[in-house]
Amino acid sequence: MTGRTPIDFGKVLIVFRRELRDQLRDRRTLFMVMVLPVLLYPALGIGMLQMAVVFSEKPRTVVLLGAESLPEPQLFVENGFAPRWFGNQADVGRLTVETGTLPPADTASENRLEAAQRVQQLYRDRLKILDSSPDSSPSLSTDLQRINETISVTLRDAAIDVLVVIPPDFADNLRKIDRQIANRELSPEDPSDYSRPVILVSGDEKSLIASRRVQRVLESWEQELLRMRLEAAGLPRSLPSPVAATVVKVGGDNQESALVWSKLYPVILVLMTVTGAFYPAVDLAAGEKERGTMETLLISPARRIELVLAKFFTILVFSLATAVLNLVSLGLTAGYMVGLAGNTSPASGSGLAPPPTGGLAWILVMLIPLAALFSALCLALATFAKSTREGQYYLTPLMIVTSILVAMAASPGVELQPFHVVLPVIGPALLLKQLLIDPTRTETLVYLAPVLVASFTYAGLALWWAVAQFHSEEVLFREAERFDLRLWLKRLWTNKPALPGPGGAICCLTIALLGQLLLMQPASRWLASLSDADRPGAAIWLLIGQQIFLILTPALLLGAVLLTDVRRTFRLRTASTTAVAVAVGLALALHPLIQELMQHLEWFFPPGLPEGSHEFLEQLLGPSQPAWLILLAIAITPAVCEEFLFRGYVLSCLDRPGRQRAAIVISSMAFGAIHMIPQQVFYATLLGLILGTLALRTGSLWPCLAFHATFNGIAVVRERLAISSEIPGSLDWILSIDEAGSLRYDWPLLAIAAASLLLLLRVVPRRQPPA
Amino acid sequence: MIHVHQLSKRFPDLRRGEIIALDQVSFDVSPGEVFGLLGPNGAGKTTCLRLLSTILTPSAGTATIDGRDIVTDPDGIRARIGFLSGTTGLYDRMTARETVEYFGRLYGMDESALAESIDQIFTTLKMHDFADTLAGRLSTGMRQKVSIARALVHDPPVLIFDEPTTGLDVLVARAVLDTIAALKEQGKCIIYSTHIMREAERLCDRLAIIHRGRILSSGTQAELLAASGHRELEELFFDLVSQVETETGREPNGNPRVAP
Repeated sequence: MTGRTPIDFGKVLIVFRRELRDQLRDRRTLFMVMVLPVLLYPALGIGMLQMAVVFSEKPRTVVLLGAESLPEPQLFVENGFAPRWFGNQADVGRLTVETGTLPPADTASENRLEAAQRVQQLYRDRLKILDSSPDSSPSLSTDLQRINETISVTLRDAAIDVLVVIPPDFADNLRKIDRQIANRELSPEDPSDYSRPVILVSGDEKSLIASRRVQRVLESWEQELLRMRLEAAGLPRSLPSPVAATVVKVGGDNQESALVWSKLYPVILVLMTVTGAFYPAVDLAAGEKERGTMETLLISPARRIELVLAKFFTILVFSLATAVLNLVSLGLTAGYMVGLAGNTSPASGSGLAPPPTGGLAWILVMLIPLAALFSALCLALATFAKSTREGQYYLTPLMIVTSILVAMAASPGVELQPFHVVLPVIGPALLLKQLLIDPTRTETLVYLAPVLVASFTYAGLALWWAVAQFHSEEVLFREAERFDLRLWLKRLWTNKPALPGPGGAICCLTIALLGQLLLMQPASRWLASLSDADRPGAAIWLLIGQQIFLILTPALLLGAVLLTDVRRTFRLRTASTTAVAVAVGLALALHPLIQELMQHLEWFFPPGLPEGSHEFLEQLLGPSQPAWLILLAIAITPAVCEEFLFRGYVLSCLDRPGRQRAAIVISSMAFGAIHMIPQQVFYATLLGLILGTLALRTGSLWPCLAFHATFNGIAVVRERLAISSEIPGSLDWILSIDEAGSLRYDWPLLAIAAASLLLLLRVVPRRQPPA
Repeated sequence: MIHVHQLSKRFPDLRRGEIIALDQVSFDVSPGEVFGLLGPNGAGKTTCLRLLSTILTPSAGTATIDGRDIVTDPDGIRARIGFLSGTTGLYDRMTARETVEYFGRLYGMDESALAESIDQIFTTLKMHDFADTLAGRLSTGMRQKVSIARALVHDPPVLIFDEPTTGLDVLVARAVLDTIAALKEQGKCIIYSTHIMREAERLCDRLAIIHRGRILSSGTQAELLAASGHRELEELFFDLVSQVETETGREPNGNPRVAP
């Protein structure tokens, strides 16, 4: 068979060289992949410089009434606040102040002063209304609203962004208190009971920004007033700030730059490897179909796997080149831009230092698995598409998913944990982020090998998918068939297949997954509304109902309505007693092994369950509920529901001659996926492998049901026993209790379990092929 | 050389459920012979030839070419055939010479043999004028010549032509037919599919009339005409197709019959 002939890398090289040359001759691809990034960043940089000019802020107008009642130190000079009150000197020119102490410069300014006085009067009215009727009556609120509106309109019409009103006796009041403090003649009543300045501002954005600036100015002015007051009273100026901690940045500029790069580079890297892979992939696969050269290529002596590899390497080269070009261009532009900014304002320091050389080397290392993954993925997608236009449609969903993943990795504070290693994109992005901050940290470097292995595994899977696509006649010769919903439904009905197809399986899994997600919030709200006594019981019934309606019912319905061979789909063949007994034995043997494995892998998973849910689970499974109910909810119902769906419907959909192993693996992964919590996903996938094997070997669902119910049942019993446990002396050589109080299985028991497991797996009775 | 036995191919189809594109087709072709597959559009000719060139895998039946099985040794088959159809496209961004060189190298030819073969084929097909022009700039006729050169470069013992004159003007079509006749003289084993009677009459030693995936009749031209009593191939063809259509309740043109 062809599968065993080794891959001829000579042919791969011939095809690779042709594809590469072909892409290099394509101006569009070259432009998208090579020219655009090189020009884009400098162009953006220039654009930003120009924007800064175009969008420079106009100064905002502040009208200050009652300037004559302001105490020392001087708050404003001529037509602005005194520069010493600004934290950022760039803000000085952004506020102009009109006070009425100088004759108005023009009619607009004269109007403003007049409007300001009107607003002042309105404000006094507003206070009066508030004073006169302390209760909030409906008429009061309409009155207030009317006045507020008038004030707002008046301010806007007169182009006053902020109005500051200083009360007439403000300076006198302050002086009085200063005196009292200086002479230590404090009265028992609060000296702060005097009228204060008011800042009036309409609701629009620019006025709000201006008013925040005014507030900051007044705050620093206030600080100075306070210090003067203290000085006058013979007290130290530093009195109001007893803590005033000093921040010392010992990292230096390089480390701060590394922090910037570590956020920027992984994101750009991921997005650019996708972009660089996508366009060539569409041209190399969908484009080839569209132009009719696919057939020409398929009749050449190169085998399909060789064609896929050659195309994959071509796409990889483009993906790598695009990412590197983008990173270099971005780095140079950013460095140059920051250099420019640094020259104009010497206060901002020496600018952005380039990332450390070690970090750059790591970029190149992490680039390869990322580019490999996306190249393979894009190739598979593009092969599936029947035209370049259809191919382009797949870019958006791919980009969205990728962006979400990389955004998770780039969000501040997220640090690499063991579990992240197995996540595609997130793993390498997080690792790179940390390596850019510190390229030699051992705690980070231990993740390198696992992340690379995981990433290359994903790339390998994607490549395997692409090869599978290249072997599928349906995909390679997809005719432009018009889709007609009515015809399709009719055909579902009239032309029922015996066994389920992938559409039905995906439909069932979607219902199970989405249903769980959608139910989560209403269910927890409903449970929270119940009394403490009712809640565990309700939760158990909810659990049972959810499994029946979301997992069992869709599979049964689809099977009964759309398939002709329900018995074969759900493997409802009778099983021998031996088969069922072996299944129960397998569950008994597997339980301690999985239990201990999960204990030993605890460090690997993120702390899964949210706060409080652990107690809830204990309550749910605790002695308050009858044992039969718990067994029904945790052992029987899941066994029935999940086995019908996964070892029945899903496995029947995947099980084809020669593809049984793949069928078991894929159905196990689906089985794992609906468990959501990472720990459960992991061990459910493991269990799925055993269950799938049982189903295919015995040809019956019943052993799987027995296995599943036994396995879950033991867990329930264990939980119950753990509450009141003391190990009997005769069992202490195989059981023990650890510091956390949970039951542990010791090595002798595990050895026996492992041996029995291997033995039992060998004796699973095989179904006799039908005569 | 080519031995086809009970070859069938079924496709899933949204509109009609499963379509049987090829239904238990059997025939043999010897070296030095041109075997014609004559049938209307959609008769199953292309499917049959795609099966023989191992692009598709059969649903049932077997076929061997030069002693190699299309299912168990597709690589061996592809190395021994030259395939040309109306739909085998060319890479627009490659020149005629580059295209032929590329496929020659994939067939594992060494460079000197390749250069010699290309020179000879380009001379025969009068292709030297546009040998270094990008295929995207060539006319349809020139492109078809490049395709022929591509199919012949490794000097295969078996050649499969699927409607190779589609879309060509009379002059180029004639040149193509002449080339095929010359190849027959060289002792090649050739399958030629067409829906054009005149081409079949001129070129084919033996013929199979194929419709709706089944071979309705086969033999030499003389045998076919003698057995049916028709004087012309076209009449015979129309008669056979009409019979099938009447049996399946359709007009000879394939449309469903309208009740009188």
